[in-house]
Amino acid sequence: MLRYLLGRIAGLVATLVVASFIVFGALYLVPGDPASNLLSGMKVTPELVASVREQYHLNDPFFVRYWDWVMGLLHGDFGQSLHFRQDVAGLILSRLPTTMLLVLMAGLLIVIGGLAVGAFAAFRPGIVDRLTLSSTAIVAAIPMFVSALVLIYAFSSGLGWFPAFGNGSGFWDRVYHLILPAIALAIAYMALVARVTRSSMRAELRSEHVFVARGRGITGERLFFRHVLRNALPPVFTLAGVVVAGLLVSSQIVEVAFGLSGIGSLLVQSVQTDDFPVVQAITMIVVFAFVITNLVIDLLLPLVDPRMRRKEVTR
Amino acid sequence: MSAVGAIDASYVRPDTRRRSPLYLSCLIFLGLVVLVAIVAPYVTPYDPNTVDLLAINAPPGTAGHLLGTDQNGRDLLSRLMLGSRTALLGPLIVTVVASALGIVAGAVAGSAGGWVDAVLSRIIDFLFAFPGLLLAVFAVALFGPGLLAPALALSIAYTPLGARLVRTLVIRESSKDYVRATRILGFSGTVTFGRHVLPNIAPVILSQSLLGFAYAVVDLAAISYLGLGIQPPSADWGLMISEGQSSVISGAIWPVFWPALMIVLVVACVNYVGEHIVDRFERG
Repeated sequence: MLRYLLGRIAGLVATLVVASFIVFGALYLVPGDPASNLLSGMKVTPELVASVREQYHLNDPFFVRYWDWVMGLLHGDFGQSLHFRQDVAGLILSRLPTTMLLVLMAGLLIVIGGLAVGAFAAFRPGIVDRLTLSSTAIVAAIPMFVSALVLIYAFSSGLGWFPAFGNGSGFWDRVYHLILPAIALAIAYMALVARVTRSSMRAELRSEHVFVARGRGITGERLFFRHVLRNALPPVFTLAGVVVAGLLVSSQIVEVAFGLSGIGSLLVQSVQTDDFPVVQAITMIVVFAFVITNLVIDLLLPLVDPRMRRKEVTR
Repeated sequence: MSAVGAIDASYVRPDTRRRSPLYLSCLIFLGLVVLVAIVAPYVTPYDPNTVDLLAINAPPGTAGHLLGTDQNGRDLLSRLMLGSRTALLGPLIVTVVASALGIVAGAVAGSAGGWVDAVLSRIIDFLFAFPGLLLAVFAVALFGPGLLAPALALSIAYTPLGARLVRTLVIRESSKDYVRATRILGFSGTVTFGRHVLPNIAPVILSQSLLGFAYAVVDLAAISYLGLGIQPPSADWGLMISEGQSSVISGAIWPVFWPALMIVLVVACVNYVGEHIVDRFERG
């Protein structure tokens, strides 16, 4: 187990090193001088170029700069934003709570809604199951910005139940402002989780051990929780890495649609204003979130399913 | 990847004995969209960029505008027709590049084995850490907004899915007797792969490519919705939705409704056709 854990952590570090190298080096792959790339869209004077060269240590060799940047990241120093003229770290920290709350609310919706719908369909073959399958297929095909606009049209400008714009102030007001965005963010993933849950549970329900359990007279909740749910969870679990990274990335769309100021809308704004240090920082954060989630999932799986423990030993 | 396999297996099975009417209507619809995309510049009823401030947000059917007009009084039907060009061209680039890269990488990894396979598989695993939309936005930050940069970035992001599938299929197919027999007869690896292995796994790859096409339609539309793709005043479905958003809040849905409907229909149809192909292949 320890060897497996160390191997996984080494793999994670390797992924992050390569990713950071690409994210940092990309600016130098693009044709043109990095200083003028950083300054694109601004009035360029020789003094400004010189000061940017100085500020970003562009006169140092590439690997020295890369090393400094990585060391900075590890100490929480993400550099200086070109557009906002402030610390990237501070900028991101001020925007992070909104995005985290949004992703958390969407995550809850996905887990609860996805599992419930999937289980409901799995236990009711026939018309209910068929309807669930076709409706989730359609829902999964709707782009996020379309569902955002439908929600705004129906519940905001139509019924007037929810605000269509802004973060809100104070915790509960913010939760209230984030309800529609969270639904827009969650709905496609909810459909995906529901489909995976349904097919995974369907496979369990057909298995011999459930047949035997039924033969012993076990029904209802006990059958569902003890025999079906627990065995059906691992495939759903493995989706989590993709879903978490997907939520962080897709929050751009929802934040722009609902005019929220989180890190997603910050990323879009930074791309539009050529604020490359911010783009680099947010990209690294998303990649980091993805690999960490996957590691946690892989470590949790053996707890959910003891059969997985044996597989690791033989790896 | 068992999860992804599970999704595919759980779809409603179309009746493959008879040609299902839904499959045929999807094919006809997609054919029409492609046809419109090709001839659009010659047949649009209005100039797509002519502003008519006297007819802003006109509902469908008003004064010769079959689908209505947008917030600048531009004809929605004309813009929708022209918008289909970029809406299909971008995903086409993504699908072709990603499939080509995926087939080559998967075939090499699957047939070479050993350290080549190990290295390629590592690279494939690594690429999974970059979600498509993130890579596309990153490419826009580097190369500026447009169609090509995000499309190529998405191609790279979509490559691992295809590569992994092709690798598995090649390994499974190569262990079959007929492939071994061809090798024993003295045919080279390339000939065996091109003439025997590839045709046998082609339907599954085609189906995966169609799925990639559908994802690319959504992701590229999102990029242009965010203002990072095709730039105004060009007509593009994603862009039309973002430009029409302010009208939605004031109650005029048509400028957003039509492009949204087209995206959803194209994505749903491409997905359905893809499933149908793999289904027919599996049933023989």
